Amino acid sequence: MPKLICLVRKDLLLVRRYLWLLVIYAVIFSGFIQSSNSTLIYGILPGMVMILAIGSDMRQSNQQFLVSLPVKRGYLVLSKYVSSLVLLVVAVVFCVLVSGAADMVHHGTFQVDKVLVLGTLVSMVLFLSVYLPLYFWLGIKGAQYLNVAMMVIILGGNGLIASLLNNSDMAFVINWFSGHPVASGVFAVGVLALAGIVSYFISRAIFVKRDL
Amino acid sequence: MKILLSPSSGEPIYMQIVRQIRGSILQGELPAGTPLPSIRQLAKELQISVITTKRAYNELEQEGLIDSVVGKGSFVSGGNQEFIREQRMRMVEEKIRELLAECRNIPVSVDELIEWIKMLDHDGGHEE
Amino acid sequence: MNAIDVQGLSKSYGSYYNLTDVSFSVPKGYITGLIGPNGAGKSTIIKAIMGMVVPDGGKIEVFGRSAGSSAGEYKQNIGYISDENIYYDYLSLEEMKRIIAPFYSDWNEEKFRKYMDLFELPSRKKIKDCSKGMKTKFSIAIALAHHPSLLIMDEPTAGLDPVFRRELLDLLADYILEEANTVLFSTHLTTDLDRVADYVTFINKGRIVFTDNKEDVLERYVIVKGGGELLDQDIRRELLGLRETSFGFEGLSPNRAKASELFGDKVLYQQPTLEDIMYFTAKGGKLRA
Repeated sequence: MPKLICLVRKDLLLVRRYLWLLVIYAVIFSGFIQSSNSTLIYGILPGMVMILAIGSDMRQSNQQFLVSLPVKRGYLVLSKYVSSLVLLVVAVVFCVLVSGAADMVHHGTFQVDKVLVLGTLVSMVLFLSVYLPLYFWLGIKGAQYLNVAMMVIILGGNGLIASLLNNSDMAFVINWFSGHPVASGVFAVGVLALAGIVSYFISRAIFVKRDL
Repeated sequence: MKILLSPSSGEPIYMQIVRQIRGSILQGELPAGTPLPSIRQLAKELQISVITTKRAYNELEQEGLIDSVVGKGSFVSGGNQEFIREQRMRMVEEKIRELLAECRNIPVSVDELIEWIKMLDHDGGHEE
Repeated sequence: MNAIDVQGLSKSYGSYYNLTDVSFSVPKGYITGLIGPNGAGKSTIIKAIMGMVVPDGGKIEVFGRSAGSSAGEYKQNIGYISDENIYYDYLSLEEMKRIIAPFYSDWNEEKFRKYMDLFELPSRKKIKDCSKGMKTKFSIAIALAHHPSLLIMDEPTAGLDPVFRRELLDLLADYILEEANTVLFSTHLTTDLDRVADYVTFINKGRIVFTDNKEDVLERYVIVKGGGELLDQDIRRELLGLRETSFGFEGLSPNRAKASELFGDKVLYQQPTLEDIMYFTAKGGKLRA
């Protein structure tokens, strides 16, 4: 099994123990309980999943373990990015299913707010691009503060994005994007890719020099 | 072959091994051509380091008591019957000197000693 | 080719002692002991070899290949046993193995099972519920299961009972039956190494005191004990870690021949153990013999 896959698999295995926690959150925030906006879940779940996964081998002893494996440090960094993306997609799909199911229960229709899904994906990738280098830089002590700060940003940020999306000026931009799906798709992918790549190189530069 | 080590006796471990293997060879317990355990096998069984057993074997090789063949191991030296006999004579001489010294202390005269030896030999009193 | 070559390694980590110009080799096929008091720098050296610590200067090679934090492949050949628990506490032994095994191309599941049975380790037990001895044994099972030709052990016997320590030495003896295998064993409990080590490297305060064949080391040093009246300024300088009481003195001489010349038969000579050498040297406050 190629090393990258082994590493990603490890991250998935480590997240597995939080499954019950995530299910509870999903049920609470997806609107099963409250019949109102079922999309609150999008704001919280993906962020939570990623922070949990990234933080699962935070401790210095775990980092020592990873470095003791026959894997280059650059690979260890890359694997964190890949696992985070994988988990992001899985989390978003899960959100879609759960909120859709909640809608079914309350309104009888399976609604998917495409804008919200895309918005979540984009904002989460950007969030990762900032979070991961900070995570590699701060180490375990800093990461605890980092996580709190990030959760606050996520919760607050979602509110911000939601109001942004409803803003009339933004409506124009959104319409343009909807009207030119291919161009906006390329643009979005380009921006995200750039953010990801720059972020990766920064993280790598930090981690390669780290003493454990 | 029996090797018993005493770590606290003050005698270096490799020397103890050399002495005991030499003794076994000279007393005929290990006939010519007998294979000896590899240095690593010996180290493992005696719970000592490989370098120590290697040194012991080197010493024995220097004395001509064993031969080491690369890839095959070490064997008790074939030839040199004369040499072995000489070694054994030397050991007997040691013992005779000890005996004489002891007899001087008791005291027992040399003539008495010779009579005594003849008597014991006649009685078939030498022990196996 | 040596198993490990360390040249000019230096690392300052702001606390007590910095590693300064550390150079030594670990010869292939033998057990090399890395000894020194706590905090002397042994763990740092091992971490540098494993690429966990980035040195300020120097070069490390493992089986002729460049080793350190920028390489990964050379660790295929290394079985590493840490002094701390580096595994995920909340996983079981079996789950932990499932994470580790795919990384090694020479992983042998049967061998792993064999060691797990030998050590009587229950696969389903969570790592946080395991004692230190069990965790160390697990480390060893994992390390040996992928056929490494180099075992690096960082204080493996600290905190373990004497029974297990003996068992560990037996395991090492088995491992070293194979001429291609090498062991680097760092410890401050040198009684383990007294008998079994082939080579010894002694680190004190971040510097190498000596790196040599164990037999030669033990022959070179001698403990000298005698009456206080034999001491004078010059003679005091010749002995390490000199301890004077109202009943006499004891000290370590790094040169048996010289000591014998100086003292003749007016003193008692005693064969030192590695621990004695470490104690007298460290106590003396001097770095070098």
